[in-house]
Amino acid sequence: MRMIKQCELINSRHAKILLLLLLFSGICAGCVGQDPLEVRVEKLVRNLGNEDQNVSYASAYALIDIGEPSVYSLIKALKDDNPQVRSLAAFSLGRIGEPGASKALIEALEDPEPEVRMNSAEALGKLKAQEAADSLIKLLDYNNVEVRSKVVFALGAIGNQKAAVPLIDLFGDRELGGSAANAVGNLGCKEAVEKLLGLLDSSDSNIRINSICALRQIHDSRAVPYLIEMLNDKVPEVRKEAAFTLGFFIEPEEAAQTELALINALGDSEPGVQKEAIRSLGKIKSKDSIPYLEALLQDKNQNIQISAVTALGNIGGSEAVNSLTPLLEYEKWLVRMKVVDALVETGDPGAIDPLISSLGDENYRVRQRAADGLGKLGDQRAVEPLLKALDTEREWEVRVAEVRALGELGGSEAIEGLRRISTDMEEYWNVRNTAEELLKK
Amino acid sequence: MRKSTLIYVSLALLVLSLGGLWYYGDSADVHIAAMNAPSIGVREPGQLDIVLHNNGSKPVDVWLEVENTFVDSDGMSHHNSGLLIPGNSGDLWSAEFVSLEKPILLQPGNNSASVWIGYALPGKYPVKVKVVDNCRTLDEGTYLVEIPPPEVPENLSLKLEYEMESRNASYVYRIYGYLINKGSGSEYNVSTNLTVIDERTGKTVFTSTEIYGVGEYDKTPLWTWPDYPYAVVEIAHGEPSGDSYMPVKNVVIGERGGRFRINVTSTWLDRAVSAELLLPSEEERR
Repeated sequence: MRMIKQCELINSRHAKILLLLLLFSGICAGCVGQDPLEVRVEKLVRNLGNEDQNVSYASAYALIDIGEPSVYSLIKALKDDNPQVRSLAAFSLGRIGEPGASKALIEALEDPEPEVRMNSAEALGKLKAQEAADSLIKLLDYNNVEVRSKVVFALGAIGNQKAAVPLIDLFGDRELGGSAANAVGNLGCKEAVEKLLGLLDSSDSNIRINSICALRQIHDSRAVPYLIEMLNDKVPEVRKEAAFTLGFFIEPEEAAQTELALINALGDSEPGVQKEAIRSLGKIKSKDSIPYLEALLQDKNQNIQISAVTALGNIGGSEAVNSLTPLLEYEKWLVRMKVVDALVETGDPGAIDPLISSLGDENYRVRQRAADGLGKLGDQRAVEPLLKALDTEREWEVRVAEVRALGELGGSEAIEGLRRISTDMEEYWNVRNTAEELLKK
Repeated sequence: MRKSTLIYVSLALLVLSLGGLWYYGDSADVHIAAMNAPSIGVREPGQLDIVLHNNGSKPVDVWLEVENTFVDSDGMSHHNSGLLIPGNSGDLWSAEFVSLEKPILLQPGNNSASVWIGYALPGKYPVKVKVVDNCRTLDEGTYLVEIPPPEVPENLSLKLEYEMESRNASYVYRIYGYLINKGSGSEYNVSTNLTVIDERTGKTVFTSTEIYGVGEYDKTPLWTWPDYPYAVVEIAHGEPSGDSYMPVKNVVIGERGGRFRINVTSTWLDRAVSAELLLPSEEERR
């Protein structure tokens, strides 16, 4: 009898209304109770799959901006059915930089879609996830070059020494050899030096070039004698790489070994090798090379000529200034401009007069650099010539440079000149404004 | 109606009332305390600064929804991509640019946020700002941005100057000119005519027209290429030099005894200004 009464109650119309009301209240409470940020994150994650790339990428960047609160949903999205969602989820996780995402990203390296693997590899590189090294190394054999390329970059970024040998094995690869060399260089693995030195004997010139590139970045002075030897390699690109790399060994004891070999390389038959040798002599500040570089100032090849100008600027000193100054009469403005830059680079007081004369050069770019340089060198002798140049200079860019130089030099005469310019209503607005700003300082 | 049914209905209403009380009772107490946008002109970027006041005792997360921040020349409103949240130093460069999807954490008291604004045409633009917390609107307000019509310069002046070089059997006059605005307002459609008249015959021997723009308190050179003049007049006393003077386009070659009046006239809206040179000058003819 009692059972029958309960069933009647449940079947009654009022009881059904009551149940509906309770259900409705529950739904409302559930809706209200959901974290608003969570709601937005979920919506953005869904939008990662939008066909319009503007929407999908905007959503990815919004999730990156939100940061850590979106990580959980993004990790979940790595398992989404839509490959675009998985790919952009990996893309976003790498940029958020939350280390906790690495496990899911390592799993995503097995994704059937190459783009997901690519973005996961890149993300792991950004997270510097040491625990991903083994999985990434395995992926070096994958049959998609774009994925492999991202893997190489990621391994370089992670910096796990385990990756050195597998990456060195890629040096012969036409597409990935260069990136692999950079990655090995990034690892800074001193243990790899012996192996790399051994590869300098490889019959494959790509391997020799990439080994030199990696040695440059590892920067171990044991490599210097081997690199000097490579200046005699039969392939010009190898000699060029070696000449370029020797410029990074600038310690006095290293430079003492390389100076003569680089001077000899100035006579190389390939202009590319000559150019790198010139550049390196400048970087090691080889005083002994000045006469040789001076001779190259007259070279017919403008690249060689300009490299010699720059190198003399790097070496500096009055001897370099004397070598450079006559070239301010050269017919090509680009060479004259480089000479002006080099004279400034020397920092030598002897450079002031040639720079002052360049304020009257026929090309505005040369005049502009001369004015910039006079400001940098900070010699008060330049104040009067700069004020004089401002009386006749027509190009606003040069006038701005001259005004800035006066501001850097300072002194009562320069200040007075700036004051005059700052109130001249027939002056270019930006020149007048520059003068005003400088006077406020 | 049965007594038991009434009890159940009352219970359900009680649950709903409690839910409503909990929902609204928990709402953040945030309102827009102030909005301000420094004046900007047509096509100038600006920002609307919004002060949000959190009246509660705890920090709260809110979102801003803004409309009408960018309007193009067709009157179309464009989506605003983010907010500027000032850094601790108050320096503009330390401001953080964040997505509108990222919540703004409001500390108790006043908080600042800004949005970029920009309008392609003059007019009045109501910028609608809504502060929301999940699906509830905590406060909303409208700020009227007024973009005035661009100011047209009252007066412009023209300045012409020249350099003379004696080259072989020719006098070469290099003419330079400037359009100068010593006042406020800018105009980017100043039509400038060059007319060269042979003084002996009174005939016009050369004309050209270019459009220039000039900003407020600024000057614009009339030449196009750096280090090259606006116009060249060569007076050849024998064979002309044969120089094309490229890339200078305004070139006149005259002969011995020739004299030219160089007239430059600039017009903008219903206004005009002129300048003249006579070459060779009286002094040079002596």
